[in-house]
Amino acid sequence: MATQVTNYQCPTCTGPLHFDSESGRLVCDYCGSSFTPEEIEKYYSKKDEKAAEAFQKEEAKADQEKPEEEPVPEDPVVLGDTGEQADPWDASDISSDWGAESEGMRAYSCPSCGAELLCDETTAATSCPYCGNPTIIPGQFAGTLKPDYIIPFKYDQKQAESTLKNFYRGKFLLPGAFTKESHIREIKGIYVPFWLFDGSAAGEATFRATRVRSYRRGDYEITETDHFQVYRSGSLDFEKLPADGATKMPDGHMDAIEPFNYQEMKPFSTAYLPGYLADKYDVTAKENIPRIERRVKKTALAKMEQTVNGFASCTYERDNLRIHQGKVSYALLPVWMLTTRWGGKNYLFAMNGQTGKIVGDLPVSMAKLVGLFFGLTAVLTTVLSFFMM
Amino acid sequence: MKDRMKKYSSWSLLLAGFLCILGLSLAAHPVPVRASSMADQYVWDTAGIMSGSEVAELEARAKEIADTYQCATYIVTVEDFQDYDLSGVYNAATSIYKTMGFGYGSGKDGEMLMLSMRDRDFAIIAYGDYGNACFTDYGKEKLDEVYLDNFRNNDWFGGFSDYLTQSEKYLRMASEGTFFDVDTDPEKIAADRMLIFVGVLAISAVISLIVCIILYRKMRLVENGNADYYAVEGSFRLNGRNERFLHRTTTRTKIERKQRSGGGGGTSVGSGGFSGHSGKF
Repeated sequence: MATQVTNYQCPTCTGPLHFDSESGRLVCDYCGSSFTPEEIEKYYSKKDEKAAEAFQKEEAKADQEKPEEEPVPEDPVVLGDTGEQADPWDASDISSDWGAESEGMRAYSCPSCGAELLCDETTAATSCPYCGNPTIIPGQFAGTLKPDYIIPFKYDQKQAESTLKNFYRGKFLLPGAFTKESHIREIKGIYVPFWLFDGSAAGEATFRATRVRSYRRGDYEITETDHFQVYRSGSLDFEKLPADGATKMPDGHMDAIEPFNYQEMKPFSTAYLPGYLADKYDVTAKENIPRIERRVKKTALAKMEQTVNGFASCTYERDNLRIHQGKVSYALLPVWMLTTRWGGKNYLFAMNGQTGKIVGDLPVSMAKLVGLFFGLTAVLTTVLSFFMM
Repeated sequence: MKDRMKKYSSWSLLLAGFLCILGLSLAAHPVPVRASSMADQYVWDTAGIMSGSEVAELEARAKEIADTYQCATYIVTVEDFQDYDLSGVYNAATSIYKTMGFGYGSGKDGEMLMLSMRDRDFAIIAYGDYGNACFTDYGKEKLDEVYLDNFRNNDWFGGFSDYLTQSEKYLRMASEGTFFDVDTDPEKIAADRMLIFVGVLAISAVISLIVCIILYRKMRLVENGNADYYAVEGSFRLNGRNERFLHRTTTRTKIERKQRSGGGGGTSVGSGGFSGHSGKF
């Protein structure tokens, strides 16, 4: 079951390499050497070619020398070296099948320490829980699964933690004890799979609009409201509209940490992954289309509504907008996921690993909320009364 | 002819009543304190709707008010105002006030409330510079609120008693330098202040609520539901536009005129020097 995984090692000392977000280079934890992702990619592609060559030669040689294998009878388990055949262990209750839980799991061997790594079937980069070395599973990004682009992390773990602390600042309604008592339970830098959609929205929409005229006649104020049906047709192009392709990632958080700066997007390379987690997609581009359509429609309708001028009011009536699907790209975008626990409840935050934008629900102190309402009302009433009475 | 005869007999009745009461008064007070004119009697119950003791009690109170504040307050009840003036209860009241020589001092300052029992009419009038100043139009309207409820229930003594109490309040304020009017009515001022306070409180609560909502929203994840950032700049093309008129709706709202009582206050004095109004009870 074990599958081949890659552990980027330092060409100088064979120590584990990790991607340094600050310098944008792969840095050795031991000797401090640093390399560009391109250098490491080149080095490993040569190494892989040599290894494959050697492996083929070995296999050919082994085929020639291999004796015919005789079937070996299955022996019961032997204890110690007494030579006596002990009663066999009763292993009848042990299931070799993990059942439903094994679905969606994969096992890999760590190239550094040989430990078996159990991961989700979507995991593409992780670290060995035994030796801590960053481990890449290149097969997850092979062939059609290979992402087109990647945006490397610009914020490291320390910066993510300090950004979260800054996020707490100035939040009047945050319970006083939260900042002191809440602890980051988990912090993960993840390259989240995103689909980037190009395309356009075209079609028509109708709005109801009114124009109001008021005048006085005798003792009466006359208000005339003219009602119009406003028709607009047009189109709007959009480019690289992102939608995450990971069920594990909450859509609300992923949408809220946008936008990403695509100017810094690079062609995909696994050399950017060491030191971070990475997943391959498990939500297809097709499954994301309704989500994309909703967002594009909203923007296109808003653009059309902006052209309805000279009216007192304008309300949406109906539309017939069609989305013309263009190119879809697959990219890994950097996200820090931070989980804190306070008051027996987990709070999840997501931070854009490129821009540092952080989002998430914070707890609200009801005492402060109620106090603020009544306090502010009292102060405002006093001040306004002073001027008005 | 018949009307004229009736009118003549009513005036005689009023004068006879005056002489009778004057005689009793002289008998009770051999040495009168003030000039013994008709103006010194303040309660004229010619319709006979109150008991003698009630009349005496009201008379005593009205006299005390006149002596204290130098402005008279009269109570007159008649069977039918048409016996005094055919043109209306208000004119009948002014006619009685003048004919009887009502009023305090040389300025004839005073106020008079008259009930005409036949058709349940009433008139309230004021006379003289000081009298008109003390009993403003707004003040007289407020007086209506005080006694009309009693009169509607045939509580004559209660109504007149309330009339004297309220009139005394106006005169007391005047003696302290403030005439009771729309701008000086302590109850109205308090009510207006309460109204303003409630309005201010409501505005403050709304502002506070908005602030709380803004701060609360800052604590929550704000989802990004549009694609503005990813729209290609300058790619929006408007291919067609049309505006079709559907229909017109018209609303008419009557412009409310400002009522006199809500205006600047004061007293509207007629050409005869009287101010006041009349109505039904």
